[in-house]
Amino acid sequence: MNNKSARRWSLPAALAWMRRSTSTNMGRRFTVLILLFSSIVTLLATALQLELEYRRDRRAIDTQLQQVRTSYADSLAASLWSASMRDLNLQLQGVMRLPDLQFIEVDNEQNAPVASVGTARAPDVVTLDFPLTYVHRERTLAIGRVRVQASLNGAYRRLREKVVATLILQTVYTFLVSLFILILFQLMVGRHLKRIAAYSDRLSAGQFDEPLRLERRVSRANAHDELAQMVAALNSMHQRVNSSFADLRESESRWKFALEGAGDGVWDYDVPRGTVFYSKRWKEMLGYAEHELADHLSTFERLAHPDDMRETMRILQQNIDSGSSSFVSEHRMQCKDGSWKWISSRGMVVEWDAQGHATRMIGTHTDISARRAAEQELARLLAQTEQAHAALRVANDTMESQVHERTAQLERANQELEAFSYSVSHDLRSPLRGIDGWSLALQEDYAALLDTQGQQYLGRVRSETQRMGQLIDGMLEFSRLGRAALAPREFDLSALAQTVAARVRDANRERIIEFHIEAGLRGFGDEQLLEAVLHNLLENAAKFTQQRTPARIEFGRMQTADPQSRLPVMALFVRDNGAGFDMQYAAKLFGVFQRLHKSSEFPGTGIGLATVQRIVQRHGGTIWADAAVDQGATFYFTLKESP
Amino acid sequence: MNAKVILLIEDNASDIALTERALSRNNITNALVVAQDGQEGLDYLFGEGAHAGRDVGALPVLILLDLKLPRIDGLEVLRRIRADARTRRVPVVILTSSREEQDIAAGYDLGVNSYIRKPVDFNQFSETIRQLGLYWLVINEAP
Repeated sequence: MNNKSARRWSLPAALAWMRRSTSTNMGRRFTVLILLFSSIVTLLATALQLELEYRRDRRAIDTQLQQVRTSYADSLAASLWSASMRDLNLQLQGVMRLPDLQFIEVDNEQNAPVASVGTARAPDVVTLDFPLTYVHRERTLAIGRVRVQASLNGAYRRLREKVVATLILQTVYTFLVSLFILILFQLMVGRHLKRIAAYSDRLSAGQFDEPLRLERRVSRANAHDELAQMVAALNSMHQRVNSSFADLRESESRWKFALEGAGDGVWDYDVPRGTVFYSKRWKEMLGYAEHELADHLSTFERLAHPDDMRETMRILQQNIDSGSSSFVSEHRMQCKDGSWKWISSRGMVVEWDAQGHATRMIGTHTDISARRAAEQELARLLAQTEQAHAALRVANDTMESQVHERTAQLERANQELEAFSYSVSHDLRSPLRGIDGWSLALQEDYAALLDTQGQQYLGRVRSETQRMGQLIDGMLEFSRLGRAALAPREFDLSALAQTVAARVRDANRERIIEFHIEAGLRGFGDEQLLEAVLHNLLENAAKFTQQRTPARIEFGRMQTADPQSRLPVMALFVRDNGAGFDMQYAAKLFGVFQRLHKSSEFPGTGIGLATVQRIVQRHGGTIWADAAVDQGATFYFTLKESP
Repeated sequence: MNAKVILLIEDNASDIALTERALSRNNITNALVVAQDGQEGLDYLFGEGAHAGRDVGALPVLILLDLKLPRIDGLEVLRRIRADARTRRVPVVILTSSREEQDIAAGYDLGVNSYIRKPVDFNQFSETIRQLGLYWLVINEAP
């Protein structure tokens, strides 16, 4: 306690305290300033007071000296006139009793001293000289001089005493006032300021809690004082900061979310210093923990792929130099495990110095390895596709040339077939004609040498020969009709049927054949070929009705069911009441050289219906038959409708 | 024997004999000159080759022409006959086994006078020859 107080009041401690106070604590500085100012005022006031006191004392001394003159001049003059030395001395001694007087001397008219009391001392004295006059016979006579000296020592002593008292009093007063002001300041301002300061500290430390409230009673007097205004301002600022901070935090969290959500890392490059802030995600992307990488450009330079580095740094430098708004660069970076990742780095200069040099850049890192891999895969696939395309093109070309070749082969085959048909028609028929001709020659020229049986044999040779001629002709017809170009047009089908029917009737004049041909039928197709169809069908019908009298042959159009699709269809038909046939052989009906009847009963080549089917098919239609043995037969056929 | 020559250009010996038989059966007595291929037929007409020195002014009254011939085929023979001023007007009848449409068309395009397909039945063939003779040698006025 003693120690403490001793230290507190020791001079160096006090000085130190003052220094501390003046430099740190505002209250204390305030105090010191008050003390300083009060002291100066005290000193000045004291000086003023002393001055006044001194003057008053001087005035009192002057007044005393004047009183000496007024009171004693006449008596002293009388004593001097009368040369009564004893009176003079007595009078002088009486004057000397007055306070502060230390010397008095009376001189005669020759300025020689006559009488004196006390001693004359030089410093700090006030001297008064005055003449002594005596009125003698109405004349005023100067008879000598008086010199009075008063000492100021008494005044000085009193002043000294006063100085001490005043100083002590003033000091105490000043100190007390200062103390009072200090306490008042502390109570009314200082503690609140402290609180405000602490609050501001918290505010700047980022602690945004409740608004500031001062610990004081709110009254009408202080409701709107400076502190209250300050608090209000601070609170309003706090609110604004709070809200903008919240906005900022929200925007930052959004930004963070966007970047981190997208998996992007962030970098922030201080160009002059060479330091770079790398975000956590930036480092994570390469497999590093936050503390494992230094926030410096060298980190980037170390991890970037040497092959990509130069280009990337060039882009970066170009961006810094040119001040263009942003840049994008793609480069590889090495991960902690030694693997490489493709990174897309986007950045922009955000701060420049006064000379326009970039000082700060920020940007992002995006892991584009997957995209790169996909691109490579795509490129590979594209290359493969291209290869496949090329192969396909080659195959196509090959195929095309093969098709060409095949077509050429087919055309050759067709030509050969035609040549064959030509040959057949020409070359095969010639020998037949020879056989027939020479058989006949034998019959005619050597009839006498042959018996009846020999004649019959020769007849057989001839009829077989002619039959073969018919077969060849039928075959050629079948081939010719199959190959002939179609010349489709619309025509009168009923009229065509009438014509063909007339021809058939002419060929069978001995028979009674009733033709019933539906009128008004229109057909669309190659009239010549369809004439062959009708001719074959009507001739067939006539042939297979040869045992009927009358034979009845019908041609018309009706709705029936398509044998394959079972759908209703409008079909042309040729119906007869002839021998018919067994439906189980219907499949053979339209085959070349297929016959359902014995030649002896119904001669024929077996080519007619095949030809008919071929023509109907070439017209986009179908042909089928419905029959029963001895119940007659119906041939149905369809043709493609006119376009 | 009739002095008016019928030129038969035909390579098949059997057909030649049958044609001769059909002609005689129908009392067509014109001399029959047979050329067994196209070149020989042309040689006869233009007095060349084996027929060099022949009086080419003596034209056949009728040419019976087969189409399928060795060396020069029937259509080419026809073309040359029609291309030469001397033989241009001689009646030519194509007598062939072929009934190919292209042959028929080509024949008429080259200026043939008739196109007849030889039937297998000799009686029919004989009848055809008869009608041919009647038409070209009797009814028709030669140029």
